[in-house]
Amino acid sequence: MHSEPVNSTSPGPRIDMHETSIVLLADPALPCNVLIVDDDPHVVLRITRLLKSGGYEVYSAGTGEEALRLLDSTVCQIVLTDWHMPDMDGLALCRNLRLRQADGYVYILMLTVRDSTSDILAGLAAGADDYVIKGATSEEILARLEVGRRTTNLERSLRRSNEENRRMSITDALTGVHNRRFLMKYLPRELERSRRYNHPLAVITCDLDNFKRINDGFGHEAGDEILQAFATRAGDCIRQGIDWIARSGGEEFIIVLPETSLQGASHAAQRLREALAAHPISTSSGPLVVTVSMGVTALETAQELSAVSVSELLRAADRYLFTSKHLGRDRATVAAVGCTATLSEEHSGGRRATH
Amino acid sequence: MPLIEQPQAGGAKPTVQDLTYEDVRQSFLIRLHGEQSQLLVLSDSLGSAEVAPASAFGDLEGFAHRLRGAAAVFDFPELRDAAKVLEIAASAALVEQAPLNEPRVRTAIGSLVTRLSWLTGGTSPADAAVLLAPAN
Repeated sequence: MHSEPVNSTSPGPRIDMHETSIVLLADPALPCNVLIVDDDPHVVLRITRLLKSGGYEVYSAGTGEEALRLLDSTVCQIVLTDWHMPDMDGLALCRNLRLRQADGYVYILMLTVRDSTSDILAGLAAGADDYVIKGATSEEILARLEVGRRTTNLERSLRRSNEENRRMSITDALTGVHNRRFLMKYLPRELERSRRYNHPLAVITCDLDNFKRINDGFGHEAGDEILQAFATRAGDCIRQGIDWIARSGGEEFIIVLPETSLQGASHAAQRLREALAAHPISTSSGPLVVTVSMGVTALETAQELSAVSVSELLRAADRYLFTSKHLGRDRATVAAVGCTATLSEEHSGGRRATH
Repeated sequence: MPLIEQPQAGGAKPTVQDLTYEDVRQSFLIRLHGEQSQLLVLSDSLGSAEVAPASAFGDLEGFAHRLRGAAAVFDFPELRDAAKVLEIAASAALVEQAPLNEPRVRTAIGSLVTRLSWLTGGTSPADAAVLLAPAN
C-alpha cells in the first residue's frame, strides 16, 4: 500500500478528520506581507533587511496615520510597529487596526524599546499579539514573526474552509444550483424585499417529466446528467445575478424571479421549455429527450404581496405544476396565486391557450 | 535614506538586499555625528531664556527615546543605556516642572555626549565633559 511520505519539516499544522470535515492546511507558500511602522529610517532599514532575509515582503510607514493609509490599499498579514511615533503612536495604531474590518486577521507585533511590565501589558491590551523589546536578537525577532506567519496562514486556511463550507451548505452538490436550505432562507427575504419596494415576485416550480422512468431505464448516472443539464439550461434562461434556481427535491426545481410579473415569468417558463425541447440531452447512455412540467405564479399587487406568505406562494405554484402534469406534462400552467385552475393560462408544445 | 538612495559608481542604486548588516550599521554610525550635533543644540536650548522648560525637556525626551530605540536595534547597549538615563531624567523634569538647569538632565546629557563622541571617534570623553560643564 502506497503512503505519502511525511515531511517532518512542514511548518503548517494539519488537521485531518473524516471526509466531511474541514481540512486545515497552512500553506507555507502563501506570501506574507509585513508592514514595519517606525519613524526611525535606520531602524526601518535594519528590520527590512532582516525580514527580507526571512522571506517576507516588506512595506514601511513612518507613522500610524501613514500605516493606516497604506493598509487601505495593501494587504499586510503582519504589522510590526514601534510605540512612540509622531501623529499616531503604536498603541493608537493597534486600537485602530482592531476596529477595522479587514479581509483577514492582522497580526500585530510591537517592537519598542519600552521594556517595563506595564508597557508590555499596555501594548497587549491595545491589541498587539506579541511584544518584542528593541535589542532582541535577529533570531528572536524572526522567530516571533514566524509565529505571526503561522497564525495568519492558519487563519487564512480556516477562513477559506469556512467560505467553502458555507458555499457547500447552500449549494446542491450534483447540479451546482442552490439547495432547499437556501430556498427556505432566501425566498422569505426576496418576499420581504418585494413588499418593501412594492415590486412583483414570481416563482416557477419545475418537475422533470417521467424522471423515474429515465432512472430506471438508463441508470442513475444518466439521471444525474439529466438533472445537471436541466440546471445548466435553466440557468441560461434567467437573468444572471437577479433570478436564481434551487433544487427543492429529487427532480424538482424552483426558479425565483424577483421584480418579475406573471407575464414575465410566463415568458421565462416558455423559454425554458423551448430550451429543453431544442436539443436532446447528451448522457452516458446516449442522447435523451426530456420535458418539464411547470407551475408559474406571481405576487403583483401590494395586496397580494402583503397577504400571501412564502408557503402559500409555493403551494400555489405546486398546484399549477400539478395541473400541468394532469393536463399531459411538457407544459406550464400560469396563474395568479389566488386563481383556480380554470382561470389559468397554459402553454405547451408551441400551443398557448387560456382556459 | 542616504545609504540606499545615493547613486553608485555604475549608476544603479543598491537595494536593501544588497546591503549587509555592517553597511546599515555603518550608516547608523555616520548618523550619530548628526545626533551628537542635535544633542548639543538641545543642550544649548537649556541655557536660553527664550525656551520654555516643558518644550526643552519634551524635545530632549523624544530625542533620547528615539536614540535609545535605534541604539538597541543596532546593538549599542551603552549608548542605549545612556539615552535611557537622559529620557528618564527629561521625563521626570517635565513632570516635576523643573527649571532648565535641572542637574540630572545636565549630567545625563554629558554622559550621552561622551558616549556619542566615543562612538563617532571625535571628541574625547574628557573634551566632551569640559564642553558640557555648567557655565557657572
